[in-house]
Amino acid sequence: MKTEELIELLVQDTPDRLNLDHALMHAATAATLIAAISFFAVIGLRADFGTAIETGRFLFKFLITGSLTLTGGMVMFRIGKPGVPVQLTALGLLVPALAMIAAAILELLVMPSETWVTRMIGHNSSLCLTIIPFLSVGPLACFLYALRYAAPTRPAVAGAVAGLVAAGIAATFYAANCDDDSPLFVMLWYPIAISIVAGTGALLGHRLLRW
Amino acid sequence: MTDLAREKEWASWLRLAIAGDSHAYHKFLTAFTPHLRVMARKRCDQFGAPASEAEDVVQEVLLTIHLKRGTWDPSRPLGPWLSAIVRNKVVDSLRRRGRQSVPLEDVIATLKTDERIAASDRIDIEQILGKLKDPQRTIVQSISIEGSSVRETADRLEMTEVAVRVSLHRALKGLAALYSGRAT
Repeated sequence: MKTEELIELLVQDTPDRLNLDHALMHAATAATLIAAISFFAVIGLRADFGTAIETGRFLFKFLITGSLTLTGGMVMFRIGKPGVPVQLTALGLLVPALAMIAAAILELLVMPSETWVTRMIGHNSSLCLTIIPFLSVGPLACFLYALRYAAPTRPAVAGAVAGLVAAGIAATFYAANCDDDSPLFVMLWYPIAISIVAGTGALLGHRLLRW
Repeated sequence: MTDLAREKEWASWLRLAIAGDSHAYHKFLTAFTPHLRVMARKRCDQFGAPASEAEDVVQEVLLTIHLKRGTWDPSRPLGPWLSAIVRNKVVDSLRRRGRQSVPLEDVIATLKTDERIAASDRIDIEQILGKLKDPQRTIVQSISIEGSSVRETADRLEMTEVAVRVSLHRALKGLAALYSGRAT
């Protein structure tokens, strides 16, 4: 086929109604809905939600998971667009990391040392490591589906970022159920759960997001 | 015309194209292709590939630009987007054809050996078109080679215009998939 003929074909093809930004925004909405429905149907808020919401530690968990979702989302919206620099935006991911470290240090300063290990290990670790990945499945699928419209230079990295955002959403819901509020617990277990999701995202991205 | 002025002109055409102006899209693709061809030929030299492969690379890049045009943010300059896609796809395309980047000194030597295997390695567009099923193949031939419009093709094949468009879109996606699946 001659190139002029290919051009004719391309010109006659239906115009793309959806652009990447719209696809990602729809995915984010769907992801949140799916996670919310799964959470409230299967897991539910912790029994003492009403009192927990008054404590600083409890609320701080949402600051960490929320900022992970937001900063990860900012990277995700850029990573699929060729020619758009992403490094500076990626620095935003330091925010949740530093916040978590700062809170952990504060906890160590404020709490007696005998309590450190118990607070860190907690009693919900197996729930944390299963519920966060479980709630991430739907959101990750939504984001990967939207990213198939994208053209990421490094498909595995894009998949990992989608995993971070999915895990951020999942962790936000999970935090509303978990009664281990210590930043030490969060710092030990949440990153493990989040890494599982990000790693899965990277593997799937490597396969699915090539163009 | 300066590079920047040309880039802005292309960007305005592509913006209109994304909004549905097929005439503007035609202008953009036709204006851009010669520049793409030059870049593809340069890369072919670098990779020790024969110049005949450049046109295949050009077509593959055009197809990619077409399928991924939703990733261009019209509020951003067109240049970086175009360069990134071309850069990635040209290298990707040549690598999948079994070309490795060779140091300049070895290019002549490689060219001599590669000429022998080039003929069989070359991705045959006609063969790939042959892999499309009907009605996609008929529609593609009708629109591209025979130059019919979507409407004329729909009338001749007794399909609705919408059905022809859907089929064409699927054919283009299939073509891209066939290109990338070919050389493994």
